[in-house]
Amino acid sequence: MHSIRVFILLSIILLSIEASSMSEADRLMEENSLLKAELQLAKSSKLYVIFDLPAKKITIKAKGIPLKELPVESYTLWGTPVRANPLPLLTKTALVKPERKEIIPKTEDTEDAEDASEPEVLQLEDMPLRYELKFADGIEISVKPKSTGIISTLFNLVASLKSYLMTRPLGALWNGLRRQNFTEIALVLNEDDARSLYWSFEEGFQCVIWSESPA
Amino acid sequence: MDDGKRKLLKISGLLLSLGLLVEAAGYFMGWRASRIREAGSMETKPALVRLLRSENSFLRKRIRAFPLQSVYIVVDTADNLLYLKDGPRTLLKATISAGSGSLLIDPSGKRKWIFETPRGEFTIQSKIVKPTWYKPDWAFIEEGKPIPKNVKDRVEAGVLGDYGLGFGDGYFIHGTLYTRLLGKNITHGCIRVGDEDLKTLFQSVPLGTKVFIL
Repeated sequence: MHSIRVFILLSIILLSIEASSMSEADRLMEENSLLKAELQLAKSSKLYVIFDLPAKKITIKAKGIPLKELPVESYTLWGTPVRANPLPLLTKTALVKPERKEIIPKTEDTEDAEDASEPEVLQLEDMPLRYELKFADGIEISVKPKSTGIISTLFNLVASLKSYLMTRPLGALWNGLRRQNFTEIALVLNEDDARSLYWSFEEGFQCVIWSESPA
Repeated sequence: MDDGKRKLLKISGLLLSLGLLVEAAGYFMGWRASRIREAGSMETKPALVRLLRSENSFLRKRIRAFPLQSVYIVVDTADNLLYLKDGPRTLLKATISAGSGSLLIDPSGKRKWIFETPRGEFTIQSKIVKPTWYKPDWAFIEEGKPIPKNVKDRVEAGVLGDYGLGFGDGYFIHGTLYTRLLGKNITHGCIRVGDEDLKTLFQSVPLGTKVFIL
């Protein structure tokens, strides 16, 4: 029993040393690539998003100017390390996608009634709390809200089970066999920020993902 | 235990083992992929570190140095807020109404409109006092009225407030008669601002001011 404890302790120590073995030059090189990727995006006239995971924040930017910052409560990253390239958002998927409301042209009968009522429009509250963002290079970001009650805790538990039992092992196996990259990043945001990210981050927008602490 | 139950148990055990094997293989491949970066580790050399530090500092300055001659406007369509900024300083924070995202289909089925505020970088191209609205076709279709042939029949004064700031493609930052709806996504794509905030904005921004809409 004693020898097992020693073995576990030694393994933890060895793994910690291994994890911090990235040299300063490596970190600076990584930071260099990320800054070059951001510079490329800042030169264009389009909005872009920086996922700064070590600093736990998502920043929507244009021309290097931070326009909106969304704090990340927590995150996990699994699979192939993310390359320092500008990545376009390919698709946003959610169980229930917000639908555009169609305006029904007024008629003489409906005119008075509709003037008094509030028009039906898409609001921030209509945006989903749980969704997936798919990027090129096999990168998937799943967003879920911070657990605030029994129902959201249950939903988050199901999402974690799906991630640990299906997405991660099957994604890594399937993509590994095809010699393709696979990275799953799970982000926990507060409810408003999760909706806000879905609203603002449109398909085709570019982003850069910082997954290592800059030197 | 009869044969049937034993068979079922065996199949379940086999399926479970197969599942676990697939999971283990997946986790192994994921773990192996995550080690790629470590395998390519560089040796730390002081000269290389110095060079990288100075280049990174230069890159950071270049990212921050994109020219913004004066103030700029940030419109957050998610929260319906407009910020007038000068560098990191916020000069004005105003509640606005941005595009509804709604869809209108011409009863003929030939045309459709999506009433969204466009996202991206824009420039203030025009500044108008007491702007007049020339109602486009969709406004008549929405109201269930026939589209007039005479331009004069499209003119509607007073609905856009005291000032209008055009940022291209017919989109304006303007005033509103419906102040109770400020803070909601309600417009056909333009940005509605309350009277006092609109006056401050109009007086503070010159032509050419950048507008970032997210």
